[in-house]
This record gives sequence, structure tokens and C-alpha cells, in this order.
Amino acid sequence: MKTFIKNFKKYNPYAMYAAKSELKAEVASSYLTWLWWILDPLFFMLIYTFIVQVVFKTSVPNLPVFVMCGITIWNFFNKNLVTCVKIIRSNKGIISQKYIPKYMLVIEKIYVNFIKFLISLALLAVMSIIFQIEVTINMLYTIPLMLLLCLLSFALSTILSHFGVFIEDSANILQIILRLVFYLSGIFYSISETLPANLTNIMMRINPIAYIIEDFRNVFMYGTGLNFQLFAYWTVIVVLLTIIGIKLIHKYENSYAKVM
Amino acid sequence: MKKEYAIIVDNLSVNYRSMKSFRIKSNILKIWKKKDVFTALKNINFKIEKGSVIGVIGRNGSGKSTLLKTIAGIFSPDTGTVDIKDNTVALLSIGLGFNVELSGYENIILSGLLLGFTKEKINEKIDEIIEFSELGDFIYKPVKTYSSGMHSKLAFSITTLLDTDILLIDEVLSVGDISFREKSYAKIKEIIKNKDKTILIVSHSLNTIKEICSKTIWIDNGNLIDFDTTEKVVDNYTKFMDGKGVKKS
Repeated sequence: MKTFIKNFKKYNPYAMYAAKSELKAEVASSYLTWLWWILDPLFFMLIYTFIVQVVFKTSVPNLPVFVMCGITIWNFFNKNLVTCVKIIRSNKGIISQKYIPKYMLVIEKIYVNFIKFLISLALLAVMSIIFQIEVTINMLYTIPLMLLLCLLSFALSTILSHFGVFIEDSANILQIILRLVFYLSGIFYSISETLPANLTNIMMRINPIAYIIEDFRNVFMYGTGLNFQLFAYWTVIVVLLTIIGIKLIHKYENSYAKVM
Repeated sequence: MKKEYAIIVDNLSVNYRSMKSFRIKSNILKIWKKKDVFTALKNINFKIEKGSVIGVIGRNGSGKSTLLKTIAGIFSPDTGTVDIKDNTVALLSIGLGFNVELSGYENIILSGLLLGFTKEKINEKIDEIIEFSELGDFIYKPVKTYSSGMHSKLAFSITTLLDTDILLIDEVLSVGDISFREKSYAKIKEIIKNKDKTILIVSHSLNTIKEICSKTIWIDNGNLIDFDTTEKVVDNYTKFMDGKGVKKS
């Protein structure tokens, strides 16, 4: 853990600058990119809203805001995992020439995705004003939830980046698992209202994204407090996963360059 | 007289697993088969004195770059140890972490940060780097618009930042046009003059090795063939290579 903090301090300026440059390069490479960061979540929100309303004919009050909460959280999580499973490979040039703690590459990607996450969040804020979502003090609980989401993304991305080096099919397997998790996370429906109570309980304890989305909506849209029991439960698990991820990288990172 | 060593390599072996990364399907089928291992370096031993300039020669694929990368800490040894005491070490590498969409200026900062320098230190040196690179106003243009010569000029210039106790140089003395090549060669020589620095140079140019290295390591097929004064080693190496050439023709 000490090495992690030392490494983080040493390489964080690089990760920040690299993230900044990556975003800059993305903007520079086409005229519409930064607009896409807004349009992308917006269109998906419209699609899901359409499907839920027209195809499934269920109606949730303030459906667009409801869906946007789910999409914002899901996109951040999904993008982190998908890019990080290939991260060691795509940074081959750097890795074969200079030692860098590999989780710093993950952190760099998380910074990049976090900026896009913030844009999506801003969009959500605008929408909640349009739909006149009541502002409550409980909205502040979104902050610990977002921190949990970041740490969860970091932990899983780090672990995945390790397996991504050795197992070529990781990306394919991940796609399938993520698709499954996507449908089980209640992005465009409410888990607690769709599933029976005991199944909801299980889901909240095995799927961190389902929990984060559910509680995010509770504190953001419905003004209720945080489910502290579940929050503590997931915090413990995520911290453990983070430690496992860091340990894994420390142990094996010097053999990555040899495998590639 | 007690000699101070900067690098002690003890019984070093490095293996590459030729399994590369495996696919699940083939791995389930072949799980009982022994992994194919390619040994890039076999039981290498040597000690390098502080402040010396050492050449590393050998044919392609003989393990020279692996040796440098292991000393730089990029590879971990499979057996044996590499002890570099408390020295800082850097592999002089070209174009590290470049993002071609960005300007040369931004790439200098990016590369510098990746090499472990602080923003202040880079800002302090950046004018010097830009001047050395001879790129002029192009430094503010995206690197993707550069010619390959300009690209290497920029890349080499960044390495002037490097200020570590041990410097590992892997075939970089031939970048850019003739005048820039001479300039970079002079720069390397200037670095070498610094008596505190320990330097390892991999090169195929025997003339370069003869000119700047006091001692030379000859590696062939992962084995350390010879480690002696440059004159002797280069002599033996030339004979060896000539022998190969005769056999072929």
C-alpha cells in the first residue's frame, strides 16, 4: 500500500497531463467530438425512454431523468472496464521502454472517462431542472456514491488489465458479461419495483452497479437517504478488490512486457 | 584500491514465454503441455565500475536490448539479480509516450512527466530542448505533421533532460540529417565526459564503440562471450563475424 501511495504521487502528474492531452487530442481530431460527449448520452436516454414508454408501456414519473441517472453511471463504469482490459497492450510502446506502475495507466483512463462522466452529470442536472426535480439536502449523498463508483471502476479495471495481458479473449468475455450486467442493473427500469423483494435483495448484494444506480436515484430523485447498510457492505468489498488489484499488479507487472 | 561498482549483475537469466498470451480454447486443450520457454539471457555475470562507459555488442537477437531493459527495471529477472545500488537509471528511449495529435511542445511535457520529472524541471529545461531540436515554430504544430526526421529530432532532444546516474543507450546515435547526427553524437559524448555517470551503449557501429567505450561486453545467443577492454573484444568480435561471413559465401 505504501508503494502505491508513493507511486501515485510520483506518476499522478503524468496521468493527469496524459488524460488532458488525450481529451485535447480527441477534440482536435474532429469538429464534433466534444459535442458527442453530450449527444451520446442524450440519444441513448431518448432511445431507452422511447423503448420503455412505447414498447414496454410502463410509465415511471420523470422517466427521462430516471433513465439518465442509469446511463450516466453505466457509461462511466462500462467505458472504464472496456478500455482497461486492453490497456497494457495499447500502451505497449510505453511499457517496453520505461517502468511505470501499470495501474497509473488505468487511473489515466479513469480521469478521461470521469470528465465525460461530469458532462453527462451536468446534462442530468439540466434535465432535473427542466423536470422540476425537488432539490433536497439528500442529493449530497450522490458524492459518496460517485466515489464508490470510481473506486469500484478502478479496482475492477486494474484486475481486468492484469488478465487482459495473459488471456487474449478477455475482451470478448468481458463484452458478454457486461451486456448481462447491463440488463441486470436497472438502467431503464427500477429493480426494486420490477423484481420481487427477495430477488431485489439478492441483486443489490451481488451487483454493485444495480445498487449504485438504485441508491443514486433514491437520493437524487426521491430525496430519501442513503441505504447505509448496503453502502458499507459495498465499500468493504470494493476496498478489498482494490487491494487485490494493486497487489496483483505489483506482483506481475514486470513480466507484462515480456509476454507481449 | 577499492573499486566502486555501479551495476552488479549476478547470474542473471531472463526468459520469454513463447506462449505469448493464450487463448482459452487452446489453453484448455494444451494445459498439460509444458510451456515453451525461450531464454534470452543465460547466467550473465559482470560488474561495472562507477563512471565507466561500456559498449554492448552482438548480433541481432542476441539479447542486448533485453539486458538493457532488465537493468532499467522494465523486465524482472527470472533468476539471479541486478543490483544498481542507489543509482537512478534510465533507458534512453525515443519518442516515449508520444501522442501524435498533439504539438511537439505538449509532447515534450508529456514525455518528460513520464520520465519522472516534475513540471517545474521540465519548464526550466524546455527552451533548451526546443532549441536543441532545431524545430523552430514547428514545435507548436501537431507531431503527426512532422517528417520522420523532425520526429526523431524532437524525440532525441527530450532525452537531454535525462540526468540519471546510469544511462542506458540503445542504438540511437543515428537520428536526423548529418548535422543533427553529429550534434546528437556530440551531446552523447558530452554526457559521457561526466565522470560520475555510468553508461551502457548498445551499438552496431564498432567505430562508435571504439571511440567512446573503455570496455565492451559481447553477448551472443544470450551468453556472455567476452567482457574486456574494447580493443580486444571488438577484435575478437570482428574475427568471429568475418568467420560467419566466409562460411555463408
